[in-house]
Amino acid sequence: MSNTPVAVIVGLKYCGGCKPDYDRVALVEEIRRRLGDEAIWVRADDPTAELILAVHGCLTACADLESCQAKPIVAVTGPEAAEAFVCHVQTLKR
Amino acid sequence: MTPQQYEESLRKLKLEVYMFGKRVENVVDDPIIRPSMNAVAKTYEMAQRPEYEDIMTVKSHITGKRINRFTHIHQNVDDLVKKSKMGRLMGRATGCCFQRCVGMDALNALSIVTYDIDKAKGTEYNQRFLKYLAFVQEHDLVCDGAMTDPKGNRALAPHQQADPDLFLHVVEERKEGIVVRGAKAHQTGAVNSHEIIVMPTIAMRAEDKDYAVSFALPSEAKGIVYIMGRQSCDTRKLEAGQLDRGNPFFGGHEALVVFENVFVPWERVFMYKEYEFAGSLVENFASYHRQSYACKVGVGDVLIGASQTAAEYNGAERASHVKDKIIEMNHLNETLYCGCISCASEGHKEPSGTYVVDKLLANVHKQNVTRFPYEIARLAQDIAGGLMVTMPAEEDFKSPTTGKWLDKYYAGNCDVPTLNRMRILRLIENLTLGTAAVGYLTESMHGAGSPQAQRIMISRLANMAEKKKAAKKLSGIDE
Ligand SMILES: Cc1cc2nc3c(=O)[nH]c(=O)nc-3n(C[C@H](O)[C@H](O)[C@H](O)COP(=O)(O)OP(=O)(O)OC[C@H]3O[C@@H](n4cnc5c(N)ncnc54)[C@H](O)[C@@H]3O)c2cc1C
Ligand code: SF4
Repeated sequence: MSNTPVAVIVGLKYCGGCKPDYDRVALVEEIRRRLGDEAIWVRADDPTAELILAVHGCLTACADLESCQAKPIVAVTGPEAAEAFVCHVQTLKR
Repeated sequence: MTPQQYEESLRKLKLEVYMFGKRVENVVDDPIIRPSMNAVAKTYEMAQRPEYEDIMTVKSHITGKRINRFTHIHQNVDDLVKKSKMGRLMGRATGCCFQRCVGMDALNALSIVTYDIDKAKGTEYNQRFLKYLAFVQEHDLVCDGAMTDPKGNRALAPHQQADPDLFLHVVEERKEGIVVRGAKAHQTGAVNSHEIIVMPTIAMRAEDKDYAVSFALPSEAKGIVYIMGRQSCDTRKLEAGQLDRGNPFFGGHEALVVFENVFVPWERVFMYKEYEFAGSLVENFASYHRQSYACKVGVGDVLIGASQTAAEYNGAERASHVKDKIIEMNHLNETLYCGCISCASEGHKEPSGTYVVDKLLANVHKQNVTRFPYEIARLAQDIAGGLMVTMPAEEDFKSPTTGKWLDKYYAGNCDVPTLNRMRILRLIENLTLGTAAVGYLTESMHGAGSPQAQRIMISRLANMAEKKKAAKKLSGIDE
């Protein structure tokens, strides 16, 4: 039996970014960096996605998640949510 | 389409373009025109990026394929709201007029009016239009929305003008189509367009039926000639440096488009002498386009950001009046945003299935647009200081003789390189009295109709009977 941790496949979905309160792409880069090979990143509509990260620019939180409804969705609306998401993925892996 | 494919597609067009008295042989690489091409290309680039796709792309209601929102027919209120958000997003990304909304508004207005004409007259314009729409969506095309005629004597109807060509009109009917003559003035993004969609400019009566014509043509169709408009400070784009341009990346353009006996095949004709519907086409297009001035909110974001930066570079950002001016600029800019979001949120479905904005609110929004950017620009110039108009040229900053003095005497906050202070001031100049002021100020005034056009619509659409009824009831008047 291998001890290699299995990476979580994260489907990434951004809102349209009309007036974001923070740099959404930089936040995702930071999360990706933190998770390293603990996560595999795909588009939100990729059928292999196990979990959706919805990155909203503000509290309006209007990303269109219609195509992802069958999957667990974690929504972030600001940089402070990054830590919680990283912990969540790490918990899932165990 | 990618931005590169868009650029390549423009290179294939054989447009007859004139500027400074000469034919422009290479439109795409012309230094005066190029920044405007960059701004349209940005609408393609943003649509490719996952972080903007929710706003920039949408599913086509005719093919089910994902398309650029600039070619979409609004199918619900959410589409209308996203259109307003797209305007702000693009305005902020380019700091100028990105030119593609006029065509989108023409497509949406025609989707409504071709349907209405067919219902009333048994014509088949809507089928033709939908075929054309599928073509535009499939190829992700840029359409110029051409409404404004030169208009000659404003007191006279089209048929009364001394020169009948002052409004575009039909001059010949053939078995295969029609021949038109006239011109369209102030055409935004004309030479960056694949297609040109022509609409009448005002409501018409029976005597003007030859002028009640709407159609679409490839921008390179035989007989179409483009004469580029000048913009304040345009020739700075011919200079070697970048700094004095203010915004070295993006810009807009307008042109006079002449139609010298141009043939239009029937399958591209969407209104032919149905003069009773000219007013409805104008009103629908104008309402959509008044909403489109959401773009000014995005450009306002850039100007407010530039003003705050200029204050910081000056060391004045903590002064209470500067803080208050920035608050006022934001207040005005977000008030504009309220208008373009609210007219979208209160939109409704037309018999054709297309959603249209609330016309009263769209007119109120545009009326505010004729004023607030001027006040925001005034406050920006106040905060910037006089240097934004007295600053020497970039070459003087680079010159071994004068550079050291300019660097020394035009320094502000010593943590900031002098050249960065100059850059932000040049951007404020660009937006408030340079090339971008064409879009941010004068287009805010006249584009989509001069202020009086909105006031007429406001007086028509405000429900005065209900307001009087409410007042009479509360004051105890029993009529
Ligand atoms: C930067 C810019 C971009 C534009 N882009 C486009 C475009 O892409 N497509 C397009 O079709 N159009 C475009 N327009 C045109 C715009 O819609 C017109 O400028 C607008 O409708 C006003 O027309 P005008 O410029 O001929 O002004 P005028 O009609 O000459 O108006 C000048 C003044 O006279 C008044 N006036 C005019 N006629 C009358 C009358 N009969 N009775 C009483 N008062 C009158 C007006 O209210 C105004 O105060 C653009 C304009 C600008 C400035
Ligand atoms: S979540 Fe906020 S920033 Fe993102 S598109 Fe919606 S309103 Fe705009």
